[in-house]
Amino acid sequence: MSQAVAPVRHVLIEGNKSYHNITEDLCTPTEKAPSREWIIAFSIASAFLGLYIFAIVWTVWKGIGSWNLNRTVNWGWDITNFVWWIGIGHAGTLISAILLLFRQRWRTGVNRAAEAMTIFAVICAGQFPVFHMGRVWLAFFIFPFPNTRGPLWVNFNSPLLWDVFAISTYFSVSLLFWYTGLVPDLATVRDRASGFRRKMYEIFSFGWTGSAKHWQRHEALSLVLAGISTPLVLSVHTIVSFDFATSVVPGWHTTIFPPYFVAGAIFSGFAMVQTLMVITRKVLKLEEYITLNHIESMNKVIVLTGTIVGVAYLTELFISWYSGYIYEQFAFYNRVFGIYWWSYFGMMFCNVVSPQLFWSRKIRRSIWWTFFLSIVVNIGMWFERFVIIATTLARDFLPSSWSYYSPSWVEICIFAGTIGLFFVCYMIFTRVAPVVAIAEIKAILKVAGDQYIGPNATKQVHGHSHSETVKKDH
Amino acid sequence: MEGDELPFYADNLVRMVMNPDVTVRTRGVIEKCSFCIQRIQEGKLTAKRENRAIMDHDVRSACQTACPTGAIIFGNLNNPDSEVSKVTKAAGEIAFKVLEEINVRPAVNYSAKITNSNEELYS
Repeated sequence: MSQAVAPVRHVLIEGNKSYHNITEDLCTPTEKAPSREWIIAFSIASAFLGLYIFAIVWTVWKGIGSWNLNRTVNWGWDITNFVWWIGIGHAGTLISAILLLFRQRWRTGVNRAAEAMTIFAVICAGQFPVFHMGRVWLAFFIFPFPNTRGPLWVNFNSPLLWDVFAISTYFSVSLLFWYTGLVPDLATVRDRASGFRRKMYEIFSFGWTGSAKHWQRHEALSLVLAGISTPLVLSVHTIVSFDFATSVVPGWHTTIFPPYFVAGAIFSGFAMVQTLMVITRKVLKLEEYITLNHIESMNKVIVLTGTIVGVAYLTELFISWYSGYIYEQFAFYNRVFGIYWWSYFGMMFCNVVSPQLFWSRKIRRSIWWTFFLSIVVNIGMWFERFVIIATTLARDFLPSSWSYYSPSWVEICIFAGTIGLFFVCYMIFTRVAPVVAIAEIKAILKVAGDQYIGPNATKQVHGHSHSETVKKDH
Repeated sequence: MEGDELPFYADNLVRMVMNPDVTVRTRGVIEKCSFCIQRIQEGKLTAKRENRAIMDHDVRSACQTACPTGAIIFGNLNNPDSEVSKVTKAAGEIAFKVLEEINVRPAVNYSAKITNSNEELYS
């Protein structure tokens, strides 16, 4: 047979859906009264948010001294958490921008929720540097603007200032991109709503009517924003890594940091997407949209990026030995066997060893394993940032200033509290907007063509409706 | 208004805000060493009024005036004729600078005292 036969494409949406089913399935969670599980989970998240507010008020009122930072270790849990949250955000951007360029059409099943995760994670991340400033009411000093502070001006040589630009750009582009995608879906919800709810969705959907001109502009804007987002996937965490890499401290001053941070960010981001998706698809009954294939694909990304991160760890160790530079050698010896040895081994186990289990197809496609390992990876990536920050600072160039750091209860509460902040935002999101992009996912309904041929084929030629749910489609 | 013709940063409000004679801390609260910025500012103004470059006697830091043995010398390292430049130069290679090996170039140098404990080497 010389004839080239294209392989059969996989079904991206299971359950033999029609367009109408999709609208129904995805709009319903925003229309029903919240389930009991949602209320319980939301109460817990709100309690943590309350804890966050309490700890932040305490910090502002008492001053930054209520944290256990000291003269030597002046970045502790705060910056660890900042980098951790920023890293988590990266999966959303990667899914919406890079996977778009790679024509990975399965991304439509998860991109909306992942982008929401990005936005909420960046919000959580932003809390830490802002409150670390101490006198938080002067936080606007970080922006360069004409002022009456005389020659005091932001330092453009400082990576911390680059961070301000990187993070604020990242947040605004992600928010715009996410909201642009939301507009047609909010209009869909609006058309089904009534009363006050309808009024609100009318405002938030900006008078979307679904005319061809609207779609054309929507597509053009989405493309532009995707274009801007693409370099952001790489640039944001590169600049975060510059916070460390441009210093002269051994253990930080390395050129491997940017790629290693970006890989780590994507790694932790996908782990968080998995954590959220496994819960979301179950609670909102979206198993047919966020399928096992999605979970498997994302697990493949996790095993890839986890391995890249592992190679980076080993490269760091090798180069510190190979450099022949005693300070670098000491820094890494100290990282592995020093005062914080437990965090290094925690990191190695969670980030390098545990994702290797995903080489097994069975584990990749197991919900329980995925959920468990996604949590393990999140813990591991937190350890990574702690290892980089705390071990390096606690043993710097001057032995006279060596110290030890452990967090105060305020710092622990702030961290636990941002998790509450994150979940409160995410759970409100699942109640007010469709968690899967309705307009986008309809475009991939028929990629496999199983409506026309094979066991799923429908009787009617135009194949819209199904036996139980025969309704008017328009 | 008169203030409008002044260059940015030099209007009267900024001048008051930037007054180095006013401490930024309340009494009893320690502040990081600013190398006596108020004295530097005053010295600079004196030199400016007399239309000349700043010289050693224009600025003397508080610790310098308080030190009975004159162990602290403060001055302009960029001026080769200043006392601090001369002392630093004389101390040469053996002057201690914190983390000199990683080129952080601190402005504080510690001159080492050289004593010859080996009398046979006296010529």
